[in-house]
Amino acid sequence: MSTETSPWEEHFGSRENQNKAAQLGMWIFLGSEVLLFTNLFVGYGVYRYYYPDIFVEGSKHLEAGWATVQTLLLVTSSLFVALAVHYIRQGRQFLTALVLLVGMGMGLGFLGIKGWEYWKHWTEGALPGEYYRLEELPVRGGSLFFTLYFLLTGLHAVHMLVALGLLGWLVWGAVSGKYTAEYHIPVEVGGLYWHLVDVFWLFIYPLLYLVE
Amino acid sequence: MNPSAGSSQPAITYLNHETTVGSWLLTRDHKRIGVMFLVLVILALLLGGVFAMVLRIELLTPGPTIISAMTYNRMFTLHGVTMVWLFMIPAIPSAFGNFVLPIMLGAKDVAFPRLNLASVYIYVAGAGLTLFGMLWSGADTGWTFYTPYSTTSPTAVAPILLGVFIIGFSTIITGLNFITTVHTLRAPGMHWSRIPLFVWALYGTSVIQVVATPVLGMVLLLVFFERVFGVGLFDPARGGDPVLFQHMFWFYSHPAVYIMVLPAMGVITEVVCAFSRKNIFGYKMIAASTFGIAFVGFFSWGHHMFVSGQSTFGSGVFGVLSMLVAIFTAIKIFNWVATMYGGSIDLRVPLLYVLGFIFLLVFGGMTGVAVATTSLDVHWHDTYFIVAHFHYIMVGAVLMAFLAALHYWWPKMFGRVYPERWSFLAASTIIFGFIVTFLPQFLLGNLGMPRRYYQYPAELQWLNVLSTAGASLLAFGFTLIGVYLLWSLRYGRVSTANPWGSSGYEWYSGSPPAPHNFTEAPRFEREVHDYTVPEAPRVY
Amino acid sequence: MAKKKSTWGYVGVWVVLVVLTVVTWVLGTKLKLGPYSLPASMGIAVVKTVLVAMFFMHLVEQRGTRRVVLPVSALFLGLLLGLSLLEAMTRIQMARPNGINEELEPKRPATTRPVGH
Repeated sequence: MSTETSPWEEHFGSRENQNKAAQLGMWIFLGSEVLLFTNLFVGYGVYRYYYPDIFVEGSKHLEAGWATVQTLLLVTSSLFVALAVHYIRQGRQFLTALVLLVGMGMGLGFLGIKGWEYWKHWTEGALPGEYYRLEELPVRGGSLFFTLYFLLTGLHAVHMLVALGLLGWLVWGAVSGKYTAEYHIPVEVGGLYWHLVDVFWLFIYPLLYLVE
Repeated sequence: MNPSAGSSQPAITYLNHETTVGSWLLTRDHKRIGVMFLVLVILALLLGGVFAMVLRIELLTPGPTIISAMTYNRMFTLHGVTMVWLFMIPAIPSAFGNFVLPIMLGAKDVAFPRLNLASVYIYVAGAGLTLFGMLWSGADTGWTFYTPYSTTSPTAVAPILLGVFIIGFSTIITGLNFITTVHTLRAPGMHWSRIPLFVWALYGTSVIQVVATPVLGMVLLLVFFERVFGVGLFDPARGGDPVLFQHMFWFYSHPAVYIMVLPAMGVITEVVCAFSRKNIFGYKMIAASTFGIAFVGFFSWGHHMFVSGQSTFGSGVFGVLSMLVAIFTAIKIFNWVATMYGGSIDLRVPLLYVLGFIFLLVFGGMTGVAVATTSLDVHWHDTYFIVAHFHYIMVGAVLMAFLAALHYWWPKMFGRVYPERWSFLAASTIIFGFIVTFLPQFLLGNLGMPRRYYQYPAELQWLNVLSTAGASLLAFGFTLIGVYLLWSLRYGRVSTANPWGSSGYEWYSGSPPAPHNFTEAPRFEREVHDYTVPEAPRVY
Repeated sequence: MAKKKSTWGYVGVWVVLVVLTVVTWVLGTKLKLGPYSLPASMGIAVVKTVLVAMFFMHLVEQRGTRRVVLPVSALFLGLLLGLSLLEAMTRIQMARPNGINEELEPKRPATTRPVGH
């Protein structure tokens, strides 16, 4: 293993090519992430087809207002992450770190609301599978709605945590001066991941909270 | 043959420039990673082969023979899990693909060497967890993990599910790396229309790997959750739909057959050209049919579910779409045969395996069209006919191509030539043994012997004995190969840079290649497998 | 960097996204669209996704393969969703998980209750 001082890797031939490869690799990874969520969306589609009324009722047990706040938080955090890429392209490292931190703060706010919601479901008994204790809705279908709810939001929350870690690492890199106007592949590529996690939520939000 | 090629062999190769254990374990060299994968998948093949032999010995007599019914259930599950997920899916892409793909493109490495190394360790971790589950108490669900049985089985299904889930990421990384490498790291002169067909095959495979593997990973994770946390998404008692599991499972696992077979077809294309001394017949058609198979393969998963409670309309749609796969496969077979026709055939062992491959593929493919017919499949479903069919098309094809690749690229990888006579004996034994093993199983299935049954009526014994005899031949053949290949690593004749006189691009590097594949920048001025120029290509 | 791009473009996209989010909320909770609510909310989500992908994820700057990866993966999502739903919708009543209205227990005369009851 060679100790690398330069982030440019020789086997790519040119810097432009390394940029291209990193972008393509990340987009392919994002594509595979979409397919990771696919099962849950398909399960949602099929079970909603089987139990349309129960899904409407189940959705009323969720906090649509707070979910809208969450959506706004995520959309705004996405703006800040996009700005981070914008600033690092101009080489403004401090500003980059700052907007990334703001974006992370909003992500944490999102997870805070999520945690509060989970706690409410816990007290209510609206839990997946064999823990389901909600009496207003039948177990057949009702427990499936909440299983899908927890799986979709849970998988999304896990992705949020990973993405937060990624942004934290980018903040560290920006502060320590690793990224410049020439070399900032990790910021561009890490930002893509954050946006994708945001995009998943854009679909989860109406599917779970606004069923009618 | 090119006598002067030997003189330009690089003195420092990827094998001898660093020799410590650490330099192997932490390597980022795609060639060393390929060799590591080769060792791992051969170990998996050995393990799966032992399970298979136990199964065949058990089925020698109609009643109990050597193991109990429960052990038998575990054995066929472990045989399937090991062979499908630990051997066949990574075999050709991860081992030979990693080794050869960058060289064929004139690149120094794959796009993301560190990720590539990670894929080895992810595979090891997943395989380790799977092995742990096997040793703990095995699983008796069959490799398909169908719900609701897989969620209630008393055996250790959970660690095996998690192990397979983890291995999936190794596959995704390999696919991601290959696609990016093909797009960004082609050497100057390597146009899209010059890319070797093995690379095209790997490209098509990679697309399937990236797109389908996450779906499998997630569905296995859902079963895992259902077992461990009781999150019943497929539980009929809570209104769930077990058939939905089958949809999600086969959305990956049917295209997985093409993850196994497409790289195999790529190997066959390379070997056919090299030993027929002819450019491939219909380059564009073969490349296009690769993508045709990859694409149509995604529309046919429902043919596994004809008797699972799937709608008749769905079965009809899936049945018709499944038959389309045969068209693209036939295109390839015609092209290989047309390539050999009028060529200057040099019948070496890799080409012998190609002939075995074509026979098995035709036979397995035709029976495949038969079982895609809904009305026929209702009779054959879950009988030995299906077992024989998929062993012919998937296992036979992959094994033949794996062995062809192993022999064809053995000098490339290790700089030694295997003993010719012994390898001929082993190849004939394996091809003959394979046919003897699985041809009787077609008959058994047609007579109504269900798969995964521990006992059978006494009238069926002679066919089962025949099948076991064939399996013993296979075991003998593989042992022979193992012995002479290990022998040749040390005592085999030292290879020249291009022992076959092949014009494939991978032979532009030395055998074994230099640490960064080429000692100077290669120039790809000739078409791939262009044999109109008599002398073998220059070694860079 | 020779020319400094302004940040107002990003803010403009953000404003559109916020407006669309509020519209989704109003449609979902205040105006009852009934059967049209799912296509409407999904349509808005797709528009938002396109905006995020094109401008925040800078897909407008990318060419060729990098552009098609995400649409292709969405296509495969649609494939599994579409064919599974098609199959579920054409199934006979008995094969549906919600299909059996009566208990599957055989209805025995009272005189033949199983032992142990």
